Amino acid sequence: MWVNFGYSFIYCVYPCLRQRLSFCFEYFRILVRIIGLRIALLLSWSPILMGAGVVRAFVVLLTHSSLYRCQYILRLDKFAIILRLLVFWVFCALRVCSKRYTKKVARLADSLSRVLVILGILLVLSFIVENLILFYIFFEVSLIPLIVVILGWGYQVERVRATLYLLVYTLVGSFPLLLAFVGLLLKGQTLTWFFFEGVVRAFSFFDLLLFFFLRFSFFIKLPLYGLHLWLPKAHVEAPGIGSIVLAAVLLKLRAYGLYRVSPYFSFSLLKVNIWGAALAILGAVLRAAVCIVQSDLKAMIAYSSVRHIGVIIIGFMTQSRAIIRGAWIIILRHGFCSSALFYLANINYERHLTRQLRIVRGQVSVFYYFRLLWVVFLIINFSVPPFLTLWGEASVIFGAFWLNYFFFFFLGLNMFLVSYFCMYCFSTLIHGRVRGYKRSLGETRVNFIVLLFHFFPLIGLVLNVGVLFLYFFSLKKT
Amino acid sequence: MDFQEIVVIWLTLGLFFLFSRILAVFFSGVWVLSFTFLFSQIIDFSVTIILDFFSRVFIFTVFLISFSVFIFSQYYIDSEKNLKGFVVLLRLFVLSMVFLVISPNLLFLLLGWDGLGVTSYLLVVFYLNYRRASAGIVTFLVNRLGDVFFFSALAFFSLVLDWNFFEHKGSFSLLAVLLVFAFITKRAQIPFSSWLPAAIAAPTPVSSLVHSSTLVTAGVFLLVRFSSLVLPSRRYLIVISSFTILMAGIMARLDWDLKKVIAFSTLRQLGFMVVRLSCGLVVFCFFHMVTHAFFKASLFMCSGVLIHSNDRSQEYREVKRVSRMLPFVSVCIFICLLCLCGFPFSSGFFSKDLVLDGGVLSIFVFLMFLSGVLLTFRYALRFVAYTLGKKIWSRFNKFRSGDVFGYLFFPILFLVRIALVFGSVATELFFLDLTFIVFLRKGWKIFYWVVVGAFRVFRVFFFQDFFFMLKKYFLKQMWFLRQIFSQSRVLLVLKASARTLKVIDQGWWEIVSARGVNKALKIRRVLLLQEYFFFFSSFFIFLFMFF
Repeated sequence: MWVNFGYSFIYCVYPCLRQRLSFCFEYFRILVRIIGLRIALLLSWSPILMGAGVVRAFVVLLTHSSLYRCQYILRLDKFAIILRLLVFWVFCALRVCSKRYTKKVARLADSLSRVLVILGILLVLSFIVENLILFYIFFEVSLIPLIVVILGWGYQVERVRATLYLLVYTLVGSFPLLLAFVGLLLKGQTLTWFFFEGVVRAFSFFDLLLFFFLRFSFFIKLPLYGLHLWLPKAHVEAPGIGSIVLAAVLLKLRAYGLYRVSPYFSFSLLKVNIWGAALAILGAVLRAAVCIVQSDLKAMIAYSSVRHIGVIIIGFMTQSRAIIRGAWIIILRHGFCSSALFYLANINYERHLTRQLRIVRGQVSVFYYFRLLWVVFLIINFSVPPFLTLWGEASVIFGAFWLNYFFFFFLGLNMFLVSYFCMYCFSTLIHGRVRGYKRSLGETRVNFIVLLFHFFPLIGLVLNVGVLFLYFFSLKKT
Repeated sequence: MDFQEIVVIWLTLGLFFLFSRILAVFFSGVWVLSFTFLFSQIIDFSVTIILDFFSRVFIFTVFLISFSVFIFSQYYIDSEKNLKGFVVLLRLFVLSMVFLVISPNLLFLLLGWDGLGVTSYLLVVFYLNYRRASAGIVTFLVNRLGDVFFFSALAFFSLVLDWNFFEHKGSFSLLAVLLVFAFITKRAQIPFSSWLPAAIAAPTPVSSLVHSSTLVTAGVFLLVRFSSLVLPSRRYLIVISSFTILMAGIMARLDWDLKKVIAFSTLRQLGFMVVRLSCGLVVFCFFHMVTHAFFKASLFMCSGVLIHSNDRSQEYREVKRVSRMLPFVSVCIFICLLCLCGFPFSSGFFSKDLVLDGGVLSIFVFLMFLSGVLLTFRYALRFVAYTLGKKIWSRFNKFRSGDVFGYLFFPILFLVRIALVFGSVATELFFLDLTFIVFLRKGWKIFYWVVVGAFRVFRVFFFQDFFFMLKKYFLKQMWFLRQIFSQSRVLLVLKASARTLKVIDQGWWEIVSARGVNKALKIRRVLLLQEYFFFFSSFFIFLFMFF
């Protein structure tokens, strides 16, 4: 028997070793690159996340105005830093992938990357800005590059209609937001975020109106269920890069806004909030159900991202710091994961020039590593450990359970349906007869780099999950 | 298979047989290791590992079986392109099982739990064809249902804010019910058992792992783990698992698929274990689970050899005259079946006798049990008659057949030897005090034969048509479970979601918001984007006037 094992070793293991030796340098280079990425990531994220308290760093910009003596223009706290890093990260990935465009159609791609750079600058500015009105301006202006991207680089006639939906919905939301900001100015006599904590103490009609306006405007922009019609349309009609930006960063900006305005109300409005949470939960279930029958690959991912936003809203509605932390974890996860899924869908589109799931059926099975990446990102999408997804989702779902036991039925249904549609999607993509494809783009290196860009933060953040998850263990309800 | 891995596991094994006495000391006591890998000012975030008797013995079992299965998969998947990917998936599968076994912390147990579900799906659809796809989806979805139950149980736990289960003592509550539901989904008990025959579509090494020591057995292992929490709802467990015993026995008797028969026999054995567990005899259950793991794994591997050398056909009627072509494998099959039936001094004898004789709760359970024993014997006989009988082998593949020495011979022999010996060794080591307990009186045994004889006479002489119809339309359909949890449900969900999309998303919300407003205002022409831009630019100018 041992002799036999010796032979098997010589015949089976040794050739593998030889083969490996010949590719050793290649592997080594890729490995170094990957490890470098990973270390850079950990270095960039961990010290910020490790600081348990909220970092309030003020950059004092000396400006004089007639109304206020001194203004703090910039502010960096934990979430702003995280989101800024998210913006940089995703835009690096986009920059890498837009290189391919430059080879094909040089002028268009150049201008596309220019638009993206403008958008990125706007986003970063709105994340770090301290002034309410400045935030409002950057917040609203960041819509324009998005519309330009959709109208300029989208490839269907319906994009005009989608843009119309996008515009009307978000702008209906923006006017009450402005009104609410003005109202806050009247109440607090300042326009700075920092001094606004607990400004609204009494429970008058005016305050309730403020509350309602703030919530309503962000609910439209996020969007809450019922106000969400613009989002899938915009996702479907946008080019691949546009929908990546929309999912990964723009929605994060809105969630950031919702997070920022919540400390204004020192009184608890849990009884009002619980209805919002109920609507969000119902919406999450219904969207997860709707995901399953989408024939359009991109629409499927779009609806799933809308569903994730529903979960985020539930987290924010519970008004508990621990659960809001969980919602932040979901926000981060969603930023990486759904943009990666959109990127994968875009690769499929470029290869087959269609997004119909029925037509691209079975096509992914040809490519071994793409199959792997599809399944990994879909798994991340429906919250399977050890990825970051589970911890955030668990904390939010448990929080909703604490809020009301009855929610759990819907949340369980939601979990089931999400996993259903993810595996259905994967199953459809890998099973079926493989037909020819329009353009032969193989597993190119650029695609891998971009997807790994999306994947490593998800792994790297798992190591930090203890810190992110800290409050969940320490505080139950605050 | 890495050479290193082989060496390590062999060394472990050698240690086991040489120093079994020392190991007996090692296996006593409970170690709880806590690794605090992140801490801050507020709280420690720690990973806890529990090494008590159950987890140590079971991890040992898992490692031995997975070791031989890894080697066997080199033989079985030889013609496949991506053997590497298969091995990686199998490793993940085993790893998540290990996580499941060693963690007392419920959140980390979830790591293993969900990992098992996902990797099992990926393993089932490994061959990428239509049958595998549907089987995989059914497997995944039913398992996911269990995940949801488990997750909701976790939500209950989160109210206590302590994730370590060994702190808790049970009373009958919603928590216990949820946990039981979660475990019986993983264990494929009666309302959820349709995924088990579907999961047979996986390659044979995988199903050998699944049915012996990983996926299905994980449910039983967790029942053992949570026994203090679960036992308050024991009455329902007993009823469910007794019906499962009966159903699976009849299905094993009637089915023509080689692997499905073994799968159903696993289901029955698990049912036995759980009935014993819910009587409160936890250690009996555990002992039988471990011995059963060894002989079931080797039985699956033997059937894998039959399938592999018969052009991937799993039909009973096509696998014949094995004893001529594969003498070694046929001997192994015979040994495993003897263990399954509890032949004296094989390992099944020691554990199964304990399990069967462990007490008579009621006449219902007793009858279920003993009909189960008879059915075991019958399907074992049928298995032997069809596989080792003297008929011509129709689709015999010359290129793939025969007792290949290395990858085939070694793992099966390895496991069969353990399966044969383990009962007596383990009795001597761990369960010595159990063997003297015999509950069953002689009268009960005689009573059983009377009942079975009466049933037989009844069936043969009076109601033949009725029994035929019963067999065809009820028993062969897994008591309608095949209809309830399968493709029809999948289609139902699809239809429901399509309706949701049409009625709610594209219907009501559109009418309420955009389309409805459009209609109400009777706007014929599409608003030009320029107007919007003009309006809002003027708006912004208006804004800046204040600063």
